[in-house]
Amino acid sequence: MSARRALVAALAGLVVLTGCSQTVDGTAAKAGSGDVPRNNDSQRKYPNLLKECDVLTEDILAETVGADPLDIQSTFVGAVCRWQAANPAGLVDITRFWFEQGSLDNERKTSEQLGYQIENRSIAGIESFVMRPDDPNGACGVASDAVGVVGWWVNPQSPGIDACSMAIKLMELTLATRA
Amino acid sequence: MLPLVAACSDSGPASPEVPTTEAPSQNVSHGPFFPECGGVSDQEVVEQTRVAGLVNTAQTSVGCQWLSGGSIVGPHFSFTWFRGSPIGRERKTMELSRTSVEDISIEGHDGFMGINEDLATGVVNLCEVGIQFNDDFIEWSISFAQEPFPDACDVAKELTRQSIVNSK
Repeated sequence: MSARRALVAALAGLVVLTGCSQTVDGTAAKAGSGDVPRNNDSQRKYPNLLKECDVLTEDILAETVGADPLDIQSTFVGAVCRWQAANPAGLVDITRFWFEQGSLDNERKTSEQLGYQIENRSIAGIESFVMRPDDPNGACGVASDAVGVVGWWVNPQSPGIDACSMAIKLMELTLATRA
Repeated sequence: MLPLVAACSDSGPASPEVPTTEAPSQNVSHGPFFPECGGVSDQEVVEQTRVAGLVNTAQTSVGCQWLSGGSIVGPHFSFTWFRGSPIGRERKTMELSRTSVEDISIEGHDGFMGINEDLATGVVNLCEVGIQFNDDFIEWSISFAQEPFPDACDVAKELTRQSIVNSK
């Protein structure tokens, strides 16, 4: 989902999350039309609703790609999250994905079909692979076995930025949080 | 948000962690293969959106993002391919934040279409179409910044249609 109006989404999420109750009649339906049937079990069914992009803070993301913590903004939220940060050498897009019913094998197969160069490796002791498309700016992605599969991509808009080491660092930080 | 979550007695640990929702299903069934960017060229995105100077800033295994001049200031367009991710959560997120969400079917495949209206003008400035393929789904997100612009849902539906046709 586009991050446009994500603040509204975040606020709607707050209502649900701080309710601490299984019955939140009326509160979650603040935004949107009255036509769509609503239920109150989204917090139970999707406990990470609106939290998927918060695994690492934006400060850490910015720092990892060499940007000022103030120079990062979210553009897309959900099971796939996107940000753009300003490295002094150029803008850098960051993508995170987390597919809880996905698998490392399926991601590897997809990357092969996309024609990427693939390097299997262990990151923080977790089975992973690094993927490199044929990109003049050195775009680089990494995927790791998790509850399903989790991944990071770093896409610089200009050459000279070590995207692979940044993506791997983001994965190391992510995997370290689940101890 | 996290400290507030932690205030709930039955919530999980306060520290960030790899999210856990439902246990992975035993029999996950994936959908078709989509080429990079859903097989849609940069030029096609420019033609459909009528925004010049778009840069494909995030070409990855999970989709592509086009921004005007490569910067987040301005319109946002994206294709995203979710592999083993519940479309219901994406729809729920939209229901919590968009003006409306409705059912849609494109090329015989079902999904949702979420729209957002400018609070001041009532013009639809954002339209997102998600279409399910077994345990996968794709989403085209069309978010305009400055009028005039074409019907955002027409653009989203047409690019979705092209991606489905391009799938293998």
